[in-house]
Amino acid sequence: MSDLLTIKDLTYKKNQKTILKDVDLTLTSGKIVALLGENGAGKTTLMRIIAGVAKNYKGQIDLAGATKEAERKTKLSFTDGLTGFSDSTKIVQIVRFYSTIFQDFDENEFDELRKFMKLDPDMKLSQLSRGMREKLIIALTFARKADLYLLDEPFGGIDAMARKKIINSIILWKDEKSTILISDHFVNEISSLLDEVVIVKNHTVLEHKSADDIRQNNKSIEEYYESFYADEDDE
Amino acid sequence: MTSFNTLFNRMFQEKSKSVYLIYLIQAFATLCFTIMMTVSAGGHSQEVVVGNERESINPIVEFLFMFAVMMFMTSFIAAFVYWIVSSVKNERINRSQTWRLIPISDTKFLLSNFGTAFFTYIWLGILEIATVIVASLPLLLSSKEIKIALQRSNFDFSAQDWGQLLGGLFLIILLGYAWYAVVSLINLSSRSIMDFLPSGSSKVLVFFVRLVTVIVIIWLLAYAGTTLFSVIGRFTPFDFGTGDSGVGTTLLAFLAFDVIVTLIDILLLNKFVEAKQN
Repeated sequence: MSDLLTIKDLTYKKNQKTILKDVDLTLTSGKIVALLGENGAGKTTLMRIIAGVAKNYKGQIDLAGATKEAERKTKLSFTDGLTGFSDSTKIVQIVRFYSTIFQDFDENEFDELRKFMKLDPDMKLSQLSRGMREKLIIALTFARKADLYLLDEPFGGIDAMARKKIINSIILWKDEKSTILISDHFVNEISSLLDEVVIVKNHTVLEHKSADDIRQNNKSIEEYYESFYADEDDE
Repeated sequence: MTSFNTLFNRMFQEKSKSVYLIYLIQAFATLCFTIMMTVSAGGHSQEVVVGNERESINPIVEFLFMFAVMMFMTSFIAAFVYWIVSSVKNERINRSQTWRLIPISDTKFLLSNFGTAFFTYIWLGILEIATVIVASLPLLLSSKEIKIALQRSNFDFSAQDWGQLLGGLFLIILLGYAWYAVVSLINLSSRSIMDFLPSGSSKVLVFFVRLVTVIVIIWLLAYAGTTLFSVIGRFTPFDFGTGDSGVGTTLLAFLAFDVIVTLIDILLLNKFVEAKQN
């Protein structure tokens, strides 16, 4: 498998506070990778930097040969909170926006995902519950044909049953060659999907391991993740 | 990559919603004013006066003409409201993650944002002019005296008049653009500076620093603008010994001002100002 994403010496500060420091990370094509870390570890920031919406960082980012932010944005699909739309916007209007703006947006694919998520296209954003809004975001994200999908805590408000269904289907929605980087607190539920795990701690990527290696050591992904915080719990 | 045209059309659609809302409110307010005026002027004879001639007119035609006059008068308030609303919308778009995720360069993004705000203003102007013309037409077509007065009027523009008219038009465009570019400069530069303040700073301190930043930027802009205008005025390429270099020099100075402020805006957007986190 070829390298899809290469991050070198990435450092990001905001308000005189170091959020990420000396981050090096390489992801290959066709993988599902978990980005794990406690709240405030810098997972969202890392995704925003890759997506080109967080600025003033140092270091190099290369996504399938694209180093400029505008070029990177054509190759990735990021779970956006849809804050650019007013609450009175209907789902069908958001879809029109996506299909006009993103050349890789597939309306038929979205329609299938929308039906799967049981979303009515005439519903307004204000009528959606948190879980429904997140389902819409997931559907919009996967309706694009991207090399890299960045899913930032996508299942927070979705009920357990629907979450399970979505997680089991994710593998069907992505192309064989595309990669998913997913940050989530439901480690156990997504663990069956994962090919690799990236741990973010102390402002950097502390560990990057294949899921099979973790399992071979008779550890679950969750146990492996929790082991990084075991010392802190003892204190 | 998303093309400039696609983004421009999309932003135009988004911003024209504000135009329609402002236009509807303006039309409704104008209608209310016109009804109030008609009621308060009840009993008076309806007639149009052109020179020494008097001609009686139909009450409906008079009502429509009053509506047209009120529409024209309220257009200044509507324009003011539009400039404020569109500036806020521009800055929201500059900071919106939804918009900033669009695969397009920051230069094109910013130019599209400013350009659509200005062109939607033109759209508002077209709607207002069309309304004024349509509402005035019954009077213009039915009154003999007005028809004669119009036929008598002689619009004979010289080349110099046309030059000044075109110059004025360009100046309005450059001034309109300068407004958006300056508002963005104030917003983007103060946001960039705020991101360098230590985290956990009190809200009072943040507000104070922002206020000082805004004042300093406005002062710097005024100083830079004055210097630029005096330099261009001294070395103007439009002085052909006729002493009539005013419009050309002003246009050149505003063009230079717009270009410089836009370049700073692009730099700030590209390097420092990030999209608001969801």
